[in-house]
Amino acid sequence: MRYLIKTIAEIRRASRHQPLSIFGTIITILLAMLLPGLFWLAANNLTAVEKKLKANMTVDVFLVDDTSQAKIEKLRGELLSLEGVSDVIFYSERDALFKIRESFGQDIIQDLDDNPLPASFSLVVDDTVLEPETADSLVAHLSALDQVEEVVFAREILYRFSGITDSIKRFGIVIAVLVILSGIFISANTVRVAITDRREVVEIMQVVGASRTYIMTPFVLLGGLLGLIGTALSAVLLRLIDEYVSNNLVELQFLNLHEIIAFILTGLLLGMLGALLATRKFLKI
Amino acid sequence: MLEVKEVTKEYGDRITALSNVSFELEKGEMAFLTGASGAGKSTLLRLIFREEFPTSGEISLGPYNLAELPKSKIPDLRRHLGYVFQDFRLISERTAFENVALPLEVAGKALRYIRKRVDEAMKQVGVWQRRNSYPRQLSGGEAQRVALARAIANEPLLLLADEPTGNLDMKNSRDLFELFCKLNLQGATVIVATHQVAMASEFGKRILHLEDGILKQDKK
Ligand SMILES: Nc1ncnc2c1ncn2[C@@H]1O[C@H](COP(=O)(O)OP(=O)(O)O)[C@@H](O)[C@H]1O
Ligand SMILES: [Mg+2]
Repeated sequence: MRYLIKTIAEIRRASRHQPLSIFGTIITILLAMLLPGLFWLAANNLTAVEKKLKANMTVDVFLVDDTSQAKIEKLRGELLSLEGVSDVIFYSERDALFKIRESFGQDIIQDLDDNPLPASFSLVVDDTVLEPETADSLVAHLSALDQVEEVVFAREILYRFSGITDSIKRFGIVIAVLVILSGIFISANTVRVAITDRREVVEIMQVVGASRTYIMTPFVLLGGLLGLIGTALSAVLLRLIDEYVSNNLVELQFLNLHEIIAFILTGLLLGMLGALLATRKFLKI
Repeated sequence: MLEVKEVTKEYGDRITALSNVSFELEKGEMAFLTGASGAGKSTLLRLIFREEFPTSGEISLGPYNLAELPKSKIPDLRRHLGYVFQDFRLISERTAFENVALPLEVAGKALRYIRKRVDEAMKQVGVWQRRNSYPRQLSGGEAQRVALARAIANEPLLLLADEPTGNLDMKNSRDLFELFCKLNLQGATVIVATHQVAMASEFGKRILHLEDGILKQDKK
């Protein structure tokens, strides 16, 4: 309680004595934290898209013309028993024609008297099959099956997409580390100014037997508060950006509550850490 | 109570601020630490206050052996010491009362106890009427008495003063010395460092006289 009062007094003092430094620190942390925030937002949304992409991933197994019903049933059984295949949907030659017509309009291929499209199985697969090696061996296995003409597994797009997502995540982590380090530095610098401004009082405190903790606490909390406010404002701005993009470009999902808390806590911690370093150095301990 | 044993303090290899100084101070005793400017008075007080460490020799104070006192225990030691500076060192945005309360506050004492002790200490040195004044509103003599009240607020084992009259006129200096003597009569153990050798000898207290870092005279 006393610490709280002392801290508030110290903060009011600091904002009166060095308003530009306090204001500037908050703004700098706000803007700096925006960068890892945006990366986080991007990574989250790309991961969501990737998940959707994965869920809709199918392997199309085209059959040779005029495969008999019996063979189709036998093949269906074989396919269903494969590891990683959760469902199998059969499209007859007629279905294939309807599918094409649906996407391209009535008149296409209308004039042909003969249906050139092959029958196919569409395999719904789970994540395990999406790994490059298992995917390759599945395709190889399917291609070797009797009655199978061609196997189409359009997974490159997924790989490319995952690649981009991974790079963004990795780059985001690097950015986050850099921003956190500079945040610590900024907080340390501001708190150093604040405690230097209070040098005489700090000396008197030491003379009358104040513990290190007692002297350091208000300054460490000051640093923490700067980080907290800067990052909280950063989160608000991030939310506004998210809304703007959602309304005008693509629908984005925002960070969930836990992530927002983690984001803001990071700001609190980096502010406190910087302040801790500054006060320790000042008190020569 | 205070035991200073063969204490030497060197700064670099050229300056010897204190040279083989030894003396003891009983509980309830008072001494003036005299000597010209540069004799080593402040250095000795700083060593007792554990602001610095002797080059050789040992200092012990009540239960504290300063040579073995870890850094983390320094605040604890200082809560059992009172220190008065030449330049008062009051916190300007705090009232006299709040300044005196500081040592009790940092020691985490209860508010009621603080109020009681601060009142007592301020009455003891005669500045209770000035309790709501800010340091800039106080005369030099008053400011130093507030600083003295702060130094005795925690009922220290030992009260140290370094040139407490350095910023005061003759009348105020004598009054302040008398005040130290009065506190001593009431039981305080006191060391007052001063270069005013003549005035110090007026009070019939023990005189520890330093010359160039050597304890030349120890007169009871
Ligand atoms: N921190 C220091 N570094 C170097 N020399 C010092 C330091 N403190 C004191 N001295 C020297 O030690 C001697 C004693 O100083 P001091 O204890 O301040 O004397 P006094 O208080 O009696 O005037 C002086 O010669 C002074 O210059
Ligand atoms: Mg001196």
